Amino acid sequence: MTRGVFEHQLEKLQELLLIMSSQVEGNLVATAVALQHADHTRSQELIEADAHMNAAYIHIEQTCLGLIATQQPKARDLRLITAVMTIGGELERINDYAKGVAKINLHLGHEPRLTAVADLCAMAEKARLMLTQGMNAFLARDAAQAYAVHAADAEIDALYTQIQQDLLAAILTNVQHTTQANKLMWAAHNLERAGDRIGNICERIVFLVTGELIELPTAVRPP
Amino acid sequence: MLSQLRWRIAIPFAILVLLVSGITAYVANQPVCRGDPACLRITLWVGAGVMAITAVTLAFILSARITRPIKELTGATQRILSGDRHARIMRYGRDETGEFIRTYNQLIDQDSQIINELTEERDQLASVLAYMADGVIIADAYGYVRQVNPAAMRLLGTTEKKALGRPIAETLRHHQLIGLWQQCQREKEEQIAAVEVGRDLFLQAVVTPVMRRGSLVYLVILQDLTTIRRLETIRRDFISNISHELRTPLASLRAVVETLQDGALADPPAATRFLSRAEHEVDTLTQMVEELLELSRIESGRVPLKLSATAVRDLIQQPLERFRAQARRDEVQLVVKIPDDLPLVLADASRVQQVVNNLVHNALKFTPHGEVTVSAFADSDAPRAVRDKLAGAPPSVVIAVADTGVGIPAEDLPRIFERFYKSDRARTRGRGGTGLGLAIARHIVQAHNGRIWAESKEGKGSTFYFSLRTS
Repeated sequence: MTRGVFEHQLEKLQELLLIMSSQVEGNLVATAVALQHADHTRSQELIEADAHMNAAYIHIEQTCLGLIATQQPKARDLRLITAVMTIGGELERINDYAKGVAKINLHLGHEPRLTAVADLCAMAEKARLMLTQGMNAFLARDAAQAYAVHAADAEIDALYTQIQQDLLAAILTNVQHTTQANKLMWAAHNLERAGDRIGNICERIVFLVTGELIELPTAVRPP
Repeated sequence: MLSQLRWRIAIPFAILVLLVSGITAYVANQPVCRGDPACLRITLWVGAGVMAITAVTLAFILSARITRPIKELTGATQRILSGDRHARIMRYGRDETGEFIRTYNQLIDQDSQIINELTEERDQLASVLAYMADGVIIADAYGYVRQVNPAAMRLLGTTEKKALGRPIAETLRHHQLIGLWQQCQREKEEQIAAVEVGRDLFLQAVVTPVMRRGSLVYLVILQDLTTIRRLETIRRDFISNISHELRTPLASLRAVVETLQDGALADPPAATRFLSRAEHEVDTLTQMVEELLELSRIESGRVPLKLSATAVRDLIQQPLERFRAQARRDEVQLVVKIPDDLPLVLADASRVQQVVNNLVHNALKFTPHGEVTVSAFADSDAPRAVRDKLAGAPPSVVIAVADTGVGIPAEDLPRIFERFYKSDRARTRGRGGTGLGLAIARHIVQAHNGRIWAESKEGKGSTFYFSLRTS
């Protein structure tokens, strides 16, 4: 019976993580779209919502610690609990990046956005997709899928380089664009970091499934 | 009285006791034994021994008779448990066990009737759920999925195996859907929201808490509003497009009039130029209004078609003649490829000429230099891709207008037949046109029961096809 209770607790823990990740997925896209449309209200909401994400992470962490202390989990169960804790931490950081983009939107005011902002949205959408698929791999305990998602980070990096070039070109054609381009560069950097964090999540999933803690090189091929 | 079990046990024993004690008394009374205590003792011992042995035998026989129906009952119950719901005990007496077996049979009959009714009801519900267009998920009070129907699995991209018995968040996945579900869990009230799950999936989600015999379940209903939403987008785009298309010539007219008022009238050459500009804008407006009226007439089916057997060459030749001069000026080659042995088609000649006219006009407009080819072929001679498009259609002739122009971006291709849809506003501006040509062409072809479609590669050119039934 105690086994049953523990398994139920693990399921609930996994659910907490999933709810948190779905929120972060939504925030990533919402923050980029708000930036594109200079939607300050939405950005303000996102900045305030960051506190919820922090609270969600603390809740997850406490649940994990409670489970370790009371159930003395072994092997796979222990890996699951530590993986959830680490992934929760990464999600919390990713949401901080989303918040960073929201702050940049507030700084930019209502001036018309440069066209590169469309690529920023594409970047956020890619990151969201990666995160969704990463969590699919987590649910299915599928290491191969986690590898594939990790490899997709290269697309985000490519978009990042593209945005940098476009913004530089925008500055060269009109010096007045410098301030905005500089800030958008930061926003893009935030999203690029978010992509890296999703890569970390994938590494953690591989650890959960195989028990091997490895650092995946970028553009790795599944074995 | 004799059918009762206790008598059926008691009476044999009573007979036994009477019989054996009778015989013993009789033997003890015989002259051989009378007065001899040893003989008397032996007789009593033998009598007691016989009674004991017979009693044990009798007890065995009687208990076997009592346990037999119980064993049969156990056997029948085991068969029922292992799935044979028709197992019954047909042989039973009129005693207590018989009574018990009869009652037991009744109980099983009643149970299987209830089970049948429930199964039927469940099957009905299951088929309703299975064929419903809306997605339905049922979750228990703890948020675990108890049931999920095929529509929900399709909409959320999950399987029964992945969803059943797992937390509902793993099935919903989207943060707004999960948020809605959490809100319902908190407030215990129905929650409704429209949620954009993906770029091409727009759902209306309803989460309802349902009290069922003391336990709470949650009902999640997902309605697919993608099509409705797309229609709404088309309607909105149409309004904004038509306003834009009307405003442009009007603004231009206004500028002309103001310039004339500001003194250009005094300068006759300039005034003439402005007036011809005004005339051009009025023409554009008139043409657009006429085309709109035409479109609405065709759409509402108020224009009867005068169908007759017509040669394909007649449908193409006349519109082409009008474009020859323009093509020469633009250095575009106008090529016509019509085989001589084409069957006649059923068409309203003037209408179909309008279609060809619109298609060739477009082709020339988007081909700065190169080639525009108008060809016709029977569906049996058509390439495979074309035959696929005509699957299920009656025998037809296909007319194709191909150009080597700028092409159409893939994401615009599905929408080009919409009214006012222009693929790239910046690029198409200055090439004129009302944005109604293809919409009109589509309606005319559809009124002929034909099909119209386009293929294109950006930068390589486009080909428009339409089919007409042979007569």
